[in-house]
Amino acid sequence: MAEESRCDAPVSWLALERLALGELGEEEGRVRKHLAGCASCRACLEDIEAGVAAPLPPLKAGAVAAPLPPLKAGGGPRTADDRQPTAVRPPPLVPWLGGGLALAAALLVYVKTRPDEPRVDRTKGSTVSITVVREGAQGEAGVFGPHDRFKALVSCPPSLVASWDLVVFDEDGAQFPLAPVPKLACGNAVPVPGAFRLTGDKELSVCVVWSEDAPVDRAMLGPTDLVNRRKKACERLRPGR
Amino acid sequence: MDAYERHGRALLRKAERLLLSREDARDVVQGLFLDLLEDPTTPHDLPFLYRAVTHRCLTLLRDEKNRGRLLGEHDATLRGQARCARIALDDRVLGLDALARLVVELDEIEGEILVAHFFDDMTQEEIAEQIGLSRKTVGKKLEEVKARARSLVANGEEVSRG
Ligand SMILES: [Zn+2]
Repeated sequence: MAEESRCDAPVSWLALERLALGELGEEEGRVRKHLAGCASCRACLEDIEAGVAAPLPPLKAGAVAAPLPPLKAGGGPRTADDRQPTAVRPPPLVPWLGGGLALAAALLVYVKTRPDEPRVDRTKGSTVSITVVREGAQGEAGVFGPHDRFKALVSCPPSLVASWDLVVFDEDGAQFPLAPVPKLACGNAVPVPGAFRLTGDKELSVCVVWSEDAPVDRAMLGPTDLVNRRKKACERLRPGR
Repeated sequence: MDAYERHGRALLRKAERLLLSREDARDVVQGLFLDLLEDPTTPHDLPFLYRAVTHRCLTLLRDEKNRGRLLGEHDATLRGQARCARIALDDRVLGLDALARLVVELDEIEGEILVAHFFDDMTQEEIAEQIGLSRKTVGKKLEEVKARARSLVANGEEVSRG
């Protein structure tokens, strides 16, 4: 077979990577056939194979709180110093609450579901966190049962103007137990309107997602949730007995 | 973490190809895996993680300061990977410069299509399958993305990877 000087339908990088990992499956025959006649795709595969033995930087669990360290308030370029691990701080306790919201929050029997710090997420140097609270009766922290109703409290800087949605991620994907919230007056422990139940016998994540430009797009929260994990704050809960 | 050991290098290569910065690529990939550690229900397969890296790189580039910094300090050795570029727009290979300028004009899906086609060298069929849109919709969106890229060239911006 003559070499093609130009590659009209190249083998994608993803397919080449999967080939190198031996996980291409039934596609492999077609890809190998293409590679046999295409020097440019072969060169790309060689690049991959040359890097297979390269050392992998250690994964520093817990060392970096977010994919991007927050930019300095002054706005200068990111420096080496900015890359240092940043401690995850709990949300500030000084309430930014307005009267109505304070009342709404006070009416909840506040059962913090996790003894440890809530997951803190940062955007533009600010802090957003979620606390999932059980309505009514007391119960074990971090656990959901079939009769429990929960509310989500969000702490976010008052300057943050965004649309919001509550998403429950379990093994089956994303579920949306509440109506989208086009506007939330940000503050400390602001309740997301509505209460919800959690079902299933597996651990799950209750997350609040937000978007500053367009409304939160639920269709983007499947695989694309990856999209932008920086705009999501979550708490994990497990089923009770 | 097994998934990191298995897929980390592929994801670093991809992030480096987009960002032309080893350090930022490492930040992107580390951030992704640290989030995965927190949320073990997320799939760990390479196609899924590949998409995740696309979106994280685009998020990074949407930030004006990061964009300026990345454009100012590319890693020359990573530019060498241009020998492997196989998909071009009117004989020009799109690079970080084009990506950085286009990303602010495109929505999430258009940005993903731009990267999938011009940087990951995927066909429209592969992109359609990845995103879950019809081939026709992907084709239409890709034409819009190309039109934006061409107008960028017409406006005198550099559009090259090499
Ligand atoms: Zn080829």
